[in-house]
Amino acid sequence: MIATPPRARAAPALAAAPIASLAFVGILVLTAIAVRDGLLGNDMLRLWEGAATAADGEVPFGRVVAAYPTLPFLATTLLAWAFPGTPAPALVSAVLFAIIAAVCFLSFRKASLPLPAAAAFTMLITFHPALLRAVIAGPGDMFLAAFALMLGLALYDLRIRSGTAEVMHVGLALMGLAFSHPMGAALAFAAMPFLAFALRPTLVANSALNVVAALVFPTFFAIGAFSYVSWIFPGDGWTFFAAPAESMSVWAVALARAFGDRLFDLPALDACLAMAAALVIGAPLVPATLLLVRRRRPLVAPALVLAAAAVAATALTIMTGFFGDPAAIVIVAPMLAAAMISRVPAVREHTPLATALLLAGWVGGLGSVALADPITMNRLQLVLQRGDSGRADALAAGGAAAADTGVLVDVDNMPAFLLGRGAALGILGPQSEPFTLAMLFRRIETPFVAVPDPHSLAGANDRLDRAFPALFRDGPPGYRLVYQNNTWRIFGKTKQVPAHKD
Amino acid sequence: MALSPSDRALGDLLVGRRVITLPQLDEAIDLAERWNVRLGDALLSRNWMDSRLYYETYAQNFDLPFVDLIAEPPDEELLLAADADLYANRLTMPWRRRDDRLLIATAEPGPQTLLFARDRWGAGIEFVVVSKFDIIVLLQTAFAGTMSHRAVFELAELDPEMSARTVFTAPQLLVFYALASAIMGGLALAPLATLIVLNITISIFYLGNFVFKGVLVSIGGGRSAEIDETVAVEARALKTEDLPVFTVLVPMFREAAMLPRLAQALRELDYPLGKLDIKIVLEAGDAETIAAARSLGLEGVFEIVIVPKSEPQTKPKACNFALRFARGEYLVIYDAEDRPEPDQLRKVVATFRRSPPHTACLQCRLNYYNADENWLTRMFTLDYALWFDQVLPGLERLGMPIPLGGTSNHFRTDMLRELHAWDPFNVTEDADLGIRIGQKGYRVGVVDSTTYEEASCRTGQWLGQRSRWIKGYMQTLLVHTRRPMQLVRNTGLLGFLGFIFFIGGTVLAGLLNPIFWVFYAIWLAASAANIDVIFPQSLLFLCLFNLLAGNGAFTYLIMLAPIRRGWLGLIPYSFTLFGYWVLISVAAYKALWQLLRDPFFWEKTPHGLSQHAAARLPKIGAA
Repeated sequence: MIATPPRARAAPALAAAPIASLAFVGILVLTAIAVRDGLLGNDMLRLWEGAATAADGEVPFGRVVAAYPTLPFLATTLLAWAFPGTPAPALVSAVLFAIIAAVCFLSFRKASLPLPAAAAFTMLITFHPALLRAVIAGPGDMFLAAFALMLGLALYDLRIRSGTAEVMHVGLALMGLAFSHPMGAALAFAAMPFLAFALRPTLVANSALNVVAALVFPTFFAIGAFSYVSWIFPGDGWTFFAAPAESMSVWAVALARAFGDRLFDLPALDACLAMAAALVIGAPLVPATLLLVRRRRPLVAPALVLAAAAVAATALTIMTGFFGDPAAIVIVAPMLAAAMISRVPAVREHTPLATALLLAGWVGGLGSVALADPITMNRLQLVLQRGDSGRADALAAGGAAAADTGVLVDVDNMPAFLLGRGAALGILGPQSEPFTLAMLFRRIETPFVAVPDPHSLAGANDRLDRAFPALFRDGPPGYRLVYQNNTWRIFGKTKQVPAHKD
Repeated sequence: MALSPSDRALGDLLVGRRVITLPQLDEAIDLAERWNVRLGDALLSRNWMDSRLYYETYAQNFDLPFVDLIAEPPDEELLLAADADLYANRLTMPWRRRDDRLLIATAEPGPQTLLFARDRWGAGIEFVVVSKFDIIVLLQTAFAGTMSHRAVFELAELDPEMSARTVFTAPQLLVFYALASAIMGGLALAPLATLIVLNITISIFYLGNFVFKGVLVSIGGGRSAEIDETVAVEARALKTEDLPVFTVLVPMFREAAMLPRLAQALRELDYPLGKLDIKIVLEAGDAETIAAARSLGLEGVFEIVIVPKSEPQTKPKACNFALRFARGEYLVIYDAEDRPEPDQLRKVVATFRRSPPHTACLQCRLNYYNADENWLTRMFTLDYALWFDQVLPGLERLGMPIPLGGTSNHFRTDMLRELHAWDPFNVTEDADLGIRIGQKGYRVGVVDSTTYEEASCRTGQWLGQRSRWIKGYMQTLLVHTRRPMQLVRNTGLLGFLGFIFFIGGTVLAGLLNPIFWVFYAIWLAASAANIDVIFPQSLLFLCLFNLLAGNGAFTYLIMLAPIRRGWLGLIPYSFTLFGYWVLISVAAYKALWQLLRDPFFWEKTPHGLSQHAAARLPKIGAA
């Protein structure tokens, strides 16, 4: 067998370099704007704070290895550890964005699309509003996007060949989804009943159950292994299961508002309809192509499996209350479109039509994000109207405490404080012993303490404000005010406090 | 190609002497023309006549005397040991002197032999015709000592660095001693730190091992089906007359019962029998199989090579001995129980023709026809499916050295000779040869054609076979790491790492697994009371990760292995992989014990124990 020379293999990969670089730089600029305007999602900020804290060695090892969502957390922590002071989550997101762009471009070229068309399609897919939303939402959503794309491509390959590599790729994509994002886990679970439809009929006739077992084994094994590690290293593991995210209720309310009122009495059905509509208007290329190739089952089945999994994941989320809000699922729209461009010949035979549909999908994408992610849209609206002053104040207060060491602050409540400060080392957050002791003995002895106004949005959930109601107003005994802005005050210790007599 | 006038005359003579019938002659002429071989080759591929009668007639056709070489042996002073290969290859040798003229005995009289003999022995020569079988038998007896010595020691004497004759070299012993001293010293002075360092080293090795194999499977599984299909089409399109002579070596030992089935499997190959040069290679002490082979009355293309008694009595030594008689452009080894797919040789020729010129060997896939006999055969089948269907194509695509499997490796005969063939001191001579091919700048490729074998179906039988394999891997590891920098230079860093993880990983995993299982069991039972000190949290995580991800990954890889062949019923058995690993570890310790006590002992795997007849083969293959 004459092996392809390495140089020949490297050439197409290098061809993607310009477009990947462009995507990388472009998205970094957009992320910088989003950071400046306070558009970043709470998940992103929380991850950023957690990763920075872990990278500074301020988090017990067990919590690092048993953190969930695992992939974004570990990737961000590693980057923050390797390059301290860099905006790690934004970089991770940008890298994933560039990888998605490169994969799309390469697979479009491999599908014999001309260079201009491949480049244009890549741009329309990667700068789709749903993917931009994912960038703002953070690395978890970007990992979800990357694995959704991998799943889409792998499902098509599975239907065509059903060989070892194809089964492996589907299995790994499902596992990757499960550890990328809670909604990725929902998508992976929801996809399982549909996987048999993505197999070649010969395999289904032979032993569909065994093949499906091979497809889902990595996910289940990894979940079992992760649970075991979480047990050995008590961490945050599966807390998102135990405490359904409050974001879901916010999402449900916002969705109901978007519809005017509930369509049906079943919230799950409403949500499914909303998600299905978001997918269709976000990627009109998908239903149009399905219509074109409707008689060719191998080209129809994989797309239907992924779309059905996305809708089912939404239902699963609403019905169980686990996994958070289903907004992240909207990313399936552009990723499925990308998979279809790569694998369905009819798309490249109708390039002008596909371009028009992708453009329509870009515009529709705005609507689909508005429909599927009302929380982000509200935040966007807020920023556009008057800016998010609470987050800006936290950033400023963190910046003011940059040189201080031993700052007692509830960073879990307002991660932006940590981001403003730039490093977790020197922060005494809720995971630290002084914080626990302060809460336990109602006594503060750290060099500094930072606290938001209890009447502000940030202060409402601040554990220090709750434990010390007068803290913001008076400061602890023996402390003086060293900094304040509209929301935050930082107090510094001035003298030795007498020992407690209890 | 039309028959030569002398062949036409020979045919008439054979019919005239009633050695063959007219329809047989017509059929033989048809075969000879289609195969582009001489009439004699076509006739000998059919069991129509006694070969002696044929050669007598052949002599008469050339108006030359026929000589019974066994009854009238050649003058020993005329024979040169150094020319033994030449005699075997040309089927021509000096016989006696008469009236100052040298009489040349040949089984292939004709213009080419005349030119060759004049060039070699001068103009003062005359010819006598002898049977090719007599020449082969005579060479085996006349040069038994020399050929046997070469079969055993050629590699060890000409390329000692590549021979496993010396198990441990002095520098290797020094390194082992230094390592052991360092560990003992470390344990005495800083036991905790030493254990941690050991633990980290082993954990990193485990991690590398399963990541490497995962990558190989991913790459191997993605091997383009188009290439395999193209080769299959090209193989079918090969013109029969253009096919080269193919030597088939079948080393056997105490396997008389397998002979009829083997002969039938070789007859069923989609390759002109007249272009097959089949050697049934038997040990001199194996009277039963020798008698069985002789009594079968096999066609003239089957030749029996008797390997004289000498130590070590191994398959590679037998193959080296038989290699001297090989006349094919290509050469393949089959085991007695093998059932190659009929188009295998054609696919090999087609693949060689489209491969780079430095391709020395092509390895076919191996699998079992008795997969569903019991749990062990199922697991063995999964193991082989992973190895030959996924991992080897991965190694090929990455350009790494490929350890050859026991049979169905097809060589360019000239390159095999140049490499000094197999190492008789290595009990996995095939794996060693694969690595040596890479070390010497040649290449091994993979062909999408399967040879079905009989899986060991009894635990004792399996343990014997597997322990020999692991011992051979240990020998191969020791041989090729004698000069690590040379290995890196010859195979590249990736090739070096591949070799270490592939050969070393297989050996070390078998040896280390039980130690870690025991540690883990104690850790669980003792609630980590005293073991935590040597497992700091980060290391504990790495070990846990290896334990979980390693087990998960290998189970998954094994689970994926049968998918290519559609043997989906085997997938659930991958969940019982742990039991198979326990057996591998038992075999690994047995192998280590044997390496130290009896490194060259060849533990023969008995075949023919399976209750599943080879007739089941089509059913499994079609599943």
